[in-house]
Parts: sequence; structure tokens; C-alpha cells
Amino acid sequence: MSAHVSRTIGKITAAVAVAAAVASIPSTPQLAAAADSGGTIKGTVTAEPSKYLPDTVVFLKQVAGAYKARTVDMDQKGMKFIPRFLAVTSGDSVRFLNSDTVDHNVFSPDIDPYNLGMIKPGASSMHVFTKTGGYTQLCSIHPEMIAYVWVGQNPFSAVVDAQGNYSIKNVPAGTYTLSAWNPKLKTSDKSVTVKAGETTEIKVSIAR
Amino acid sequence: MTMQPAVGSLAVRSRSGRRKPGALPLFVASAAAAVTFFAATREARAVPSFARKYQTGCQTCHTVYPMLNPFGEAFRRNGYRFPSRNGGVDSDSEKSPMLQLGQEEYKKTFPNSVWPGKIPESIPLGVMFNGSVPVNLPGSEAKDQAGNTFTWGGIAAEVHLFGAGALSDTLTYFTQVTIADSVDIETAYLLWNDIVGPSHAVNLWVGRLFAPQLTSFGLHSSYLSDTMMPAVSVAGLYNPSGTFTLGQGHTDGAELNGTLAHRFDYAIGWVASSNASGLSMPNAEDAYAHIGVKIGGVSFDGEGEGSGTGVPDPLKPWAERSITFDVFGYHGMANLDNGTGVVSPTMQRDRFNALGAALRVHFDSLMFTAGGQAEFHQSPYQGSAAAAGVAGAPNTDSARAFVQYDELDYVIFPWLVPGVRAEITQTTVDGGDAGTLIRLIPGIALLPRSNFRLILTGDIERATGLPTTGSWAAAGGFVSPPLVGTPPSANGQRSNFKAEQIQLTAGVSY
Repeated sequence: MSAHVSRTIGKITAAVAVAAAVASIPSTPQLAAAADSGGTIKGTVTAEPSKYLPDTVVFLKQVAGAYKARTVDMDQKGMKFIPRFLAVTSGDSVRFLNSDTVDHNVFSPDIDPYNLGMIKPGASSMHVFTKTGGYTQLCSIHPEMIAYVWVGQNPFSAVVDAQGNYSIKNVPAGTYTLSAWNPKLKTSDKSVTVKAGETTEIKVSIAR
Repeated sequence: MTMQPAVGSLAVRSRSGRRKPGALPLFVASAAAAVTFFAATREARAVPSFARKYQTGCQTCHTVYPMLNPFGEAFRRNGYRFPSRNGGVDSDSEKSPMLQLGQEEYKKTFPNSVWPGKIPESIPLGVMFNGSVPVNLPGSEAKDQAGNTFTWGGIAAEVHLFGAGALSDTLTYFTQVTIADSVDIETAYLLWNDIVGPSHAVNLWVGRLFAPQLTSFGLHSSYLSDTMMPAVSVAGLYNPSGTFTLGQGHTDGAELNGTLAHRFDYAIGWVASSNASGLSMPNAEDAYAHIGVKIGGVSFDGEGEGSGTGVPDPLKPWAERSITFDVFGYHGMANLDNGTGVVSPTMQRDRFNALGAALRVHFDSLMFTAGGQAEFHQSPYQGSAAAAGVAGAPNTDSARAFVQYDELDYVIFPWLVPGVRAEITQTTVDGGDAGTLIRLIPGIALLPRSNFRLILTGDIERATGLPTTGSWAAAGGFVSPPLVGTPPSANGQRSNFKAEQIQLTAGVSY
């Protein structure tokens, strides 16, 4: 199943189709403008052990540009974080919702730790991410709950689907460093050259 | 030094070694009881809890269970954790759904949060049925003692309930409850692994352990016998109240163990001392240490460079070329009944030391195991019983014994393993008579299904002399030498080799 998110900014419309549990990568003016001259990076991630594969994001390390801040939702429903993995850009906000009938909390011990306190049913709490990296999202009331927020320098990132497929679209032409982040596994960086209107395929492997 | 008369419920020999008139029925009954005990406690373990946890078959770790292949031994030594590949942890190999009692990331917030743990979504329970049926051969002393040739009486001897798994990547547990004539917690211990230093270097296992680890191999590392080290109670050969059996389970205590540089292993333990029924529990004085080295084959922890991580032929996970050598020492203490009381047992403290060694050679599908241990007991004997107007007199003589074993097995197919085993027990009484029991155990281990095993064994015996208890039952034997002389003496004579028994042991686990 996939979700289709579209957003109109000015006169340019960009569309991104991603897996339901995967955060959308909204367009920005710069990103949308790049759509005309940008390319796509796609491929498959293989993980060893494979059971950790779903918690993987593929991203470009540095892409010059100014990216407009946005707000993305992460819900707590059925005693789970939804989605489990969210990819945002530095400066973006994540609004943590509580759609359950019990109290929740959100905190992260990583990079730039925060604790959003108690979130009552139906309420929400916001956090702005300013430092890049992977953040574990925990609920101190329900220690079995977990989610991840990946904060990139740029919006050119994609969370893999269940088969490990990823696709980063509208990438400005140029040469970049492609990498991946997973809370348990590591990978080696790869250089990738993107040409306008073309698709570049890159396989990524992650392991201990 | 002169032997004092041994008097007790099972003691039937006088100072001269003659059997007392009228004592034979008691002797036979007690010997049969002892043999029944040892036969009934023949156990085997393959743990379906692990099969469920890793979603893998028995043959990942076993050939004919409970015999472990080199990978299975590494798994056991690692504290029931899969050998690590590429710096991984045990949970990397875990496939059954787990309920996180706290996500692993809570380690980052400790001590402000509880250290995280996890449990399987399904109860990590395994069940095993074990039973055996012996055929006491015509003309054998086994038949004389049992009073029958064949009985179905042991076919449903026991049920084991296993619970085993991991609370985290370093903390694991193993529990085993056995339902037989009674319900016993046979094993229940926590394994805290990788405490400091390199992986597997320092582990602490605490609780009711399987057994003191006196070799590099698991307790049940034999195709033909329940345990790799013979279940010979030297204390029981000298004193009917003696129950201590070197290297056997189940032992309450703590053990520090580990694997160093993949090829050396060690164990240092402090465990409960043994105690005769009716006496107060002694201080825990028993302690032991063992070191082992393995050359060739899969390394002790299944990790390291090159061939240490796997067998040459993946179709033969049991086959490798290796030599493993172990030495160990054990100091123990036992409260025994010295036999001087009229009714209640009277305590006599027997301290003992043991030294031993073990060797295992793998040459592809051929496996040879040998080992031996010498036990030195300070005062194991019963004394003379109190009589009307006469106080009982304890016996403080010391005694020694040497127990040796050899086993040769060949894995023809992973479900068909013939072999032959020998167990030799020698007792040496200070200034008195010595005795020797030789047991030859040919057999075949079969695995009709992965979780169903059959083991057919024979028992051929020859004895010289008898222990002071008047029976070799504490060494698993039936035979006794012919009585000769005037008065008749059981010592100094030698019986012929006699085929005593054929036994079929079956086990099913799920």
C-alpha cells in the first residue's frame, strides 16, 4: 500500500509516492525547481541481519541549498509510534500526537536529548530538530515503544520499504556522497553522480 | 590398616569381606534399587526452547541429541548464545517475536531507567519425554537383582520441562523441571556473559548449574552414556550414604568461566557440598578449576579467524579434525553417615580431592574421547554400629579410587552413530583389598526424526573384588566376582566378562 502526498507551492507541483509507513519528502521551492533538471537515485538496501532492514534511511550527505522548514506528524496510536521511521531535514519540526486513550511521553537520549513530558490523549507536543543524525524516540511510560527520526542536512533522503527499496527523486545534478543510517547496522559511503532527467541505481549494503 | 566393619542399611560386608548370613536379599534389593536409580536417571537434553527462539532445527547444534556438534558446543560455552559473526550480538540471530520489556536504547538512559530486557512473545517452554526399557539377560546378575528379564516399567520414566532463553544479549537463563516419581528443579541458573574484557572472556553463571564444568564439553557429551564423565559415585562405593558423584549435576553454586583467544577455556567454581540424608547441610566447601585447549576444528567460541568458525564440510556439521585436552582439580567435602548411630545417622565429614584429565580427538566423522580422574577420600567409610552397652566406633581410614573412560564413535549418517564405550573403576583401600570393575558398552544412537531419538546399548562387565558396600551399583555395575575360599571371600577373584543387560532408551522432545 502506498500513500500519495501532493503539495502545491506557487505554481509548481511535486508528487512523491512512498510506502505508507514512510514519511513524505515534501517539495521546497529549491527542490521543486530541481525537478526539471534533477535526477533520481534509487536502488535496494540489503541488510545483515535482514530483520533490521526496515529501520534504514538512505540519504545524501551534503547538498547545498536552503530548505524551508516544515512540520511533520508522528502519532502514538495503539501503543505504537506511527510511522516508526520518519526522515526530516534539519530545522523541521515534528509534532508528536497522542491518538491513544492513555497518556504518552516522548523523549530521546540521542545527539541533542529532549523530553517532551506527558502528552495527554488527544494532545500533541512539538519538537524542532536542529542537529543532524538519528534520534531514537521513546515513551517513558511504555518502554516497549520505539521509533526513529532521521534528521538530514537536506531533504534528499528516503526510508526503505519492506523489501529494502528506496528512491530519492528530484536530486539536483551533481556528484554526492550517498550513505545510509540504521540504528544497529553500518555502511560505507558511496559516491554518486546524478544527471538531470536520469535515474542512477545504487545498491547499498549494511551490516554490523 | 584394618578395615572396620561397615554397618548400614546397605552395608553387607564384614571385616573379612565375607557376606553376612542372611544379608544377600538386602544386598540384592539395595543393589537393584541403586541400579534402578542410575538407570532411571539416564537423561538426555535437547532444548526446543532454543529451536523456537532461533527458528532452527535440532541439527544446528546436535547430531543425535543430546550430543552437541562443534557449533552446538560453542553455543553452549557462549552461554547459550550464537557465535558472533562480524561483531554481531545474539539477538541478531533471534527470529521468534520478542516482547521488549524495554527497548535496547534504554541502556543510554541508565541509571535513570531500568536496564532493558525482553521476553519471547510465546512462552519459551520445551517438553521432553524420556524412557528406557532394559532387558536383563538370562544368567546375568542384573536379572538376579531385578528379579525379571524385561519390564515396561521404565518406558515413561520422566518428563522434562525446559525454559531457556535470553533476557538480553549478555544475560541468559536455563531452567529445567523434571517430573518423575517426584518433581524436581534440576537446573535453574542465570548466565551473565561477557562481564569484562573481550567477548566470552569472563562469564559468571549462578544458580543450580547443570554440573561443575570439569572439561570443555557439556555434561551430556556422549552418544552412549547419559554423561561424558562416568556417573560413578566413588563415595557411594565406600559408604552407602555417600551420594557425591564427580562431574555430575545438578549443583548449586557459582562458576566463573570463559574462553580466551578462542582456543583456551577455563572454569572456576564454588558449589554446595554434598550431604547424606538426615544430616544438616554442610558449609559450601566444594571448589574446582579446569582449563582446556583445543587445536584445530571449530574454535571453543565458534569465532575468530579462518577455520575456527566452521567445519570444512557444511553437509557434515559434526566432522572436523581437532584435539581438545582438559585438566581439572576438585576439592570437596561430604557429610556422611558413619554408621555408629542406632537410629539416626551420625555425621562423619569426608574431605576429598580429585585430579583428572580428558582428551577428545575428532578425525572427520570419527570421534574418540578418553578421560580419567583419581579421587582421594579422607574418611569415607562407615564404622561399627552401636550395640547394647557398646558404643559405635567410627572408621577414619582413607581411600582412593581411579575412574577411567574411553568412547569411540563414528557418525555414519547424522541419524546413525555406532560406538563403543569402556568405563573402568578401581578402588584402593588403605591396607585392604582393591577392586576393579570393567564395563564395556557397545551401542548405537539413532535419530528416526529430528526430535525423536533411540539409543540401544549393551552392558558387558567383569569385576575383581567388591567395594565395601558389597556392590558395584554406585559405579553402574551389576556383576560381582565369585565367592571362593574358607570363609568365602569376594575379593581377590575375578569374574569372567558377562553380558548383563541390553537397554533401549527413547526420547521425544517438542
